[in-house]
Formats: sequence, C-alpha cells, structure tokens
Amino acid sequence: MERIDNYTHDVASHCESGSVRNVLVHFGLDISEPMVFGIGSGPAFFYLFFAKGPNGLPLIGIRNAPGSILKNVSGLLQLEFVQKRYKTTDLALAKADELITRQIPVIARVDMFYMKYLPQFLQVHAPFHTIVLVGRNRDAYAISDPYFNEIAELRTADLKPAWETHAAMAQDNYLSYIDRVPERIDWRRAITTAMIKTSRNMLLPPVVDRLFFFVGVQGIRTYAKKILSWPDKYRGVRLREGILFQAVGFEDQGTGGGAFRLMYGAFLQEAAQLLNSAELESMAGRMIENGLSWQEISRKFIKVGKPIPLDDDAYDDWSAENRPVLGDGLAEISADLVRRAEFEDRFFKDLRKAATALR
Amino acid sequence: MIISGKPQRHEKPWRLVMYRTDPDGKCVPDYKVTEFDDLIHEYYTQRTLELERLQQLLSSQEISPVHFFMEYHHMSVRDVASRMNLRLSVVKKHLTPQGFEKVDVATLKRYARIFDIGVSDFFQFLFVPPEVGISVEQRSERLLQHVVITVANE
Repeated sequence: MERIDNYTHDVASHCESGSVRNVLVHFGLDISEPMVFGIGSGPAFFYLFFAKGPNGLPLIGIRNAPGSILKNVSGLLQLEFVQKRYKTTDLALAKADELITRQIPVIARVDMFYMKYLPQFLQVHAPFHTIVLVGRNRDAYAISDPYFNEIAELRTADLKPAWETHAAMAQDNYLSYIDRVPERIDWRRAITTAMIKTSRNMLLPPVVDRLFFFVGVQGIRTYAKKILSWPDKYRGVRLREGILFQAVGFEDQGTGGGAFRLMYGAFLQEAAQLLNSAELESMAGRMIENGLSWQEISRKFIKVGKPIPLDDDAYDDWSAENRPVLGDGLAEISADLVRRAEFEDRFFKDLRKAATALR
Repeated sequence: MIISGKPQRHEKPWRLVMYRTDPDGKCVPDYKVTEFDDLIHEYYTQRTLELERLQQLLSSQEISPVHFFMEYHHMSVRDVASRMNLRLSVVKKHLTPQGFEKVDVATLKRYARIFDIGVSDFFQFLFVPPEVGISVEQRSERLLQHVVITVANE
C-alpha cells in the first residue's frame, strides 16, 4: 500500500483533537492533544431535549460541534487550511487520492458504523467520526484513527457509505487538509483567545441563557432538573440503557474521562507553564478537581442504572420494590450536577478574567 | 442475515486514552482499560437477547425485515428516513410486513447500504455452526452476496 512518508500515528482520547494533533505533528509542530482541544475551545454542554437517542432519552453534548476544534485551531494558529464538501464520494475520493500522492494527510468525517477495524461494539451509527487517510492502494485506504492503536486498512467499499450517509447534521463527503503550518505561532494570543471563547460558550449572557436554557452552564442545570423525571417517563431496558449511556458518554466516548474536563485541566496546566502563570496553574487544579467530580457522577449513574433488570417483563415487579431507591439515586446525581453547574459558572467567569489579563 | 454459532463476545480488554493525575498533581494521559469494561460484556449479552426478541417478532409477522434491522442497529425511524432520503410516513409503511412487500429492489439496495448487509439478508437467516468458517462479500451494489463456507479438516 502507498503510504505517506514519516506519518506517525498515535492513539488519543478524542477522534477530532487526536486526528488534528497527529496531522500537526506530521507538519513538525510539537503539540499535545489537550493543547489542540483547549485551543479548539472543546468544552461545552448541550442538553439536546429535541434530539432523542436510540433509547429514547434526550441526547447530551459535552463538547463543541463536530468540526469546530479543527476550525478554531486553524484560525488561531493561522494554519493554511483547506476544507470542502464534495458533491459525490467519488469526487472526494479523487481529491483524497491526489492529496495522498502529494504526501498530504487527508482529514475526513465519517460514520463509525462502517469502520470495520474497530471492535463490533464501537461500530455504531455516529456520522461525526474524524479520521485521517494516510495511504491507499487499488481498493483500500490506510486509516489513522485515534481510537485504534495502529494504522488500519479500510476497503473503499466501506469508506464510501461511511463518507456519504445523508444522516441529519452529517457533513457528507467532507474533506480537509493542512497545506502549511506557520514558522512562528503566537501561543499567548491563541491560548487566551480560546479560553475567552470557551468561557463565552459556557456562560451565555443573562436573558439569552433563559432562551437557550439547554446550553452551557444553564444546560447543566436543566439536565440536573430533567433527570428526576426519568423514572416517570421511561421504563425497563430503555431506562437502564439510557442511564448507563450517560456514564459511558461522559467517560468512555472519547472524552479522556470526566466529560472532557480532565483533558481541559491538562490543557490549562500546559498553558500555565507556557505563559508562566501561577493563576492558570491554580485554575488547572480546580478544573481537574471538577473533572474528577464528573467522573464520580458517572460512577453514580452506573450504580443507579445497573440494578434495573435487563428484561422488560421483570421491570414492573422490580420497580414496585425499588422505585424509591432509583428516585433517591437520581436525586443525588441531580444535586451533584447542580454543584457542577455552580462550580463551572464561577470557574469560567474567573477564566475569562484571567485570560483577558494575560492577553 | 448470517448468524454465527460462535457467540459474539468481548475478547480482549479495550484500551482508551484516559487522563489521570500523577503523584505530582499533573494531569497525564494513560492508555488503559476503561473502568466500565464490564459494560462491553453486557452489551454483547444484550445484543444476543435483542436478536432473539426481534427474530420472534419477525417470525410472527409483527415487524418487517426493515424494522428488524433498524431496531437491531439502534436506529430511529427519523434517522433511517433521513439516510434513505424518504418521507417518514414512507419508511413507517416499510416497517410493517404488508408495506415491506411493496418495496422495490432499488430501495432495498439503499436500505442494505445503511444496514451494511446484502439485499438477500432481508429474506433469510443463515445459521452457521461454530466449527464452520464463513466469509461474505457483497457484490453488484449489495444485490449479490458471495458466500464462502469452509469446514476445517478433521
């Protein structure tokens, strides 16, 4: 298989920040995944009450929209960066082939369902998975996927349906690549601007936050309130899966643990060193504590969800006996989430001030 | 649909990059097995139960093959409709055995693409004993399925 020379593949917590990091390293930039995530203004919160997951419960978003990390990083680091959505997969593939021949890694957004090299439990319909195409032969591509520990091979017949899904909000046939990384980067400007942007995403202005009650810190509060009604609205296996999915979503779905907050803490530590700021160092410690508290919330979700029977027919008997315990467990998590919201409210206000002072 | 006699299971622990604090208080990446690894085992158990439940519904003609695969892959009707570029009401018709009988081959090919199966998978279940090896290749835009069955020599 024809491969891009000297491309080093490395695993990462998250597909987008990991792919961007791998590509930037290929261009000679010494950058970590937390730094990409932080400059990409990754942390966010959305309680997507209008979008239901497979188990019928509303979806939760804990990072910014797919593609935003790459867009923010390119802008703030002033990369020469090209992105385009092609009309057909054949056109996107033709462009990818041309770039690979020119030794340029190709960033693509695909549906994880068709990524045959991943274990079967990860082959789910999620059309926002970021990978890098780093080689090809007649009927397959070499794939650098941060979730997989080596460069994988994916048949073109599987890449095609993954790249054009027609799913809602999917970016079909999206392709991007970096042409050039500038010789000098203004890290101070990039880091502080990103911190202010992240704070803005988490803290909407008064009144606006009433309209967008599902976004940012206000979104965490709404989520905390809504989980109390789950046992009334959902039952059986769906409720069980829904509760367990919260924990998996916060911990294992490419977050690095603690709903991305631990990775953001690592970014703040790195930023503190780079900008020589004791204040940022102390804020990094606070964010890491916050991440560990989110991790504890996930453990509680598992504790609450696991006893629910795997069989729908057994649910009513179980519920008759255990409903108060389930309610108490969710009430405890809800109180924890309110504390997270209060913490992040204070934290992002402080971060905005600190970043403004450091500019 | 080809159902292997070898039960699906989580063979080796899955590792993820997770952040943790080291003794100096630094937050560092660690490539390790997730704390919730047992949920992956549960996922496979649940999937087997789900397959049995859906097969029963299909056999008793309560659902159509499209409905079967949609639920098996944890998809919503809205998602399927969007991917098929069909109206929600049309997909809903295809979810019933009566409605499924009216689906043309071109539409079946598109459904097969989103469920990543062959068109023939809508019409048969092939149970393969654990000692038999099987490889499947979709051809002609999933209209033809090329199946190779291998039996180990004793």
